[in-house]
Amino acid sequence: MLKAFLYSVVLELKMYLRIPMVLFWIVFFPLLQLFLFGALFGGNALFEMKIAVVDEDNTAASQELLADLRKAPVIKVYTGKRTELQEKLRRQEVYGLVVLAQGFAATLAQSKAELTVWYNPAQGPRNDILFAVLQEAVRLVNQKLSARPPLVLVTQPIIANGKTMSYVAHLVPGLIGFCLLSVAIFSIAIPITAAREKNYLKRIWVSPIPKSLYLMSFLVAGWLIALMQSALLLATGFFVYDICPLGSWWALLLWLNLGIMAFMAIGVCVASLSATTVTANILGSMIFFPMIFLSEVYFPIANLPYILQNIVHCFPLIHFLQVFRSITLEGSPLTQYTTQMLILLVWTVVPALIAIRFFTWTGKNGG
Amino acid sequence: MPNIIEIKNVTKKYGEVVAIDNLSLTVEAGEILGILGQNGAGKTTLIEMMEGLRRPDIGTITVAGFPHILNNRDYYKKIGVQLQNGSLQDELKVGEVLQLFALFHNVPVNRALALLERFHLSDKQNTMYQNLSAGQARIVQLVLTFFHEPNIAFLDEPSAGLDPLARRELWDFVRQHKAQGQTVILTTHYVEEAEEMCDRVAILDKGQVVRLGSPRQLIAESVTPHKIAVYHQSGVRFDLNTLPGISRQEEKDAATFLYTDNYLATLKHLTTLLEKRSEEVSGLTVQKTRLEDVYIKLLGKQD
Repeated sequence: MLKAFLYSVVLELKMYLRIPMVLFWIVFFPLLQLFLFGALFGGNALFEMKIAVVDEDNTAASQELLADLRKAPVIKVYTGKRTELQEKLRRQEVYGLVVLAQGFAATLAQSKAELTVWYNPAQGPRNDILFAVLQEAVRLVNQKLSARPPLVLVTQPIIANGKTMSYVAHLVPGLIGFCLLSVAIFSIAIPITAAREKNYLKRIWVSPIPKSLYLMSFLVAGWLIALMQSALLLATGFFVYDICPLGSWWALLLWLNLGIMAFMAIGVCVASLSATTVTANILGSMIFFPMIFLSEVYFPIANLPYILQNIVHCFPLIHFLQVFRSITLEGSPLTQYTTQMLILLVWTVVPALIAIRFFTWTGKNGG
Repeated sequence: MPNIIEIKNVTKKYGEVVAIDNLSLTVEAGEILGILGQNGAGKTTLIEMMEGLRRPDIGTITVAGFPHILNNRDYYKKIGVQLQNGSLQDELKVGEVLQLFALFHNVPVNRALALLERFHLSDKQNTMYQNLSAGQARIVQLVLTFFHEPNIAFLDEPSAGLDPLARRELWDFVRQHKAQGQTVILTTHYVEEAEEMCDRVAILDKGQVVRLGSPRQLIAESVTPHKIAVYHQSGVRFDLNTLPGISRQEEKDAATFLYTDNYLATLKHLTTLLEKRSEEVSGLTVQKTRLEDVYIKLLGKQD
């Protein structure tokens, strides 16, 4: 009986390992997450919080505080010109910006000693970490300066184009990018592969409808879904969170459509390279999850190692989001982003060419 | 009747595997041709090449005057296709599928609905395809094959999944279309179906036609006209090869089959012999030999 039980266990394990999808989810995907989040939030290395400091006071007191901040645990200090560092904060390349304004030393002597940190609300939950780390740094400074009035940390959100930036305003474009990629994988790649797998595409092949027209119906349906999802997110942002895109609606629409084209090409490409739905699921997941985690859909990737950041910039979603956010949050004109346009175009043409080369209607050995 | 299909020296390989091996075949307009063969014999490859789904590596296939049938929309207007293991979109309702294909063929959907009614499935118009039984799904595919009145219908294992009554109905339906002058090519694993429906049968083995002719012709050429079955207790053996007229003896668990050219002479001697062992024998039948006997003899085992 025990033998039968053990053999059943062995067979169950074998069955698990024979299903590629299971292998992907239980073996590859956890490792992928470990790798991605390890890269994002630190592996063996200690977590580092990048904080920009502008010392406009340039006194012994301000320099001493700067030195104390440098020594504080976790914090890595960047110095430079105020405008440059503000831009870094806007781009979320640093967590916060501490400004030691002129007269800082004088305020230290008085009872109103304040340390102001500017933060970017678009960072969302990262700001809580920023405040906690700086509070700890201020506590250490206060311990040292026991004879003086204690420093008080003051937080200020940055303002762009007269509006306080918000995490939701940052999140809406991210979720639109998420939707476009979802449509590409889950409404294009997998359904087309499934239709081929169950011979539905064969059935279409022997019908008198032009094949390209039928395939186009798949794409137009996907395109409409992507447009509707985007419109829904923008409308919710507008009516519920009072977020109104600052840039031109036409530029936004054009950019959205360029994005849809690129992601749809990727979807058809996945369908062309996948013989079965299982393969399409795996290939789709391998594209979907890394892109979602690493393309600043939810949070910035400033913590990623330099090499990984370069790799991430080879993919289309991060460029799509950067430009989309620039149009909506800053009102930038599209003409400013010809490089990103070219990148999206390449991501449309190359997958489309691969699809043209490898797409089959009838599966293996078919037409 | 003129030939509507002409297959000349066609070979089709999948990698190193030869699916169809230098095969030639003609089909007359208005006939029902059945293609029989074991799994892997090349039936589906052959029918899919005729449908314009696959391209032969070597040789030519001309159908209904079309020398180029692959990806030829004019050709697809003239044919009806029921695929083996073919499926439709699960999330569509039957009525929606019929409407879609009616638009593909530019014919009124009423024709498809009338056929649906003929198969007693009118009430399934609003049913999702995924909620149909296997047999009902097969009927919907059959409707899609015939509703636009094609010149040639290709049916790849049409009766798989059908109950005996639905199968009979399918046979009547196909015969009716033949009566209207349509040509039907079908593959099947049911030899009885081929014998019942087909004007001619091609038996395929390893990508080649090993027998071709009407069922009656194939029976006459291949086996004796009668088969006597002797039913007995399990494990009992009879050596009846020496009886007059016997050309072959087959043993099954509790039956012995005798193939004979002269069943009357065989019976005369057989009954005398069996009287002596009557307690071991439970019955005896005389049957005309069937196409299935030819098939089994030819391919060595039952499919």
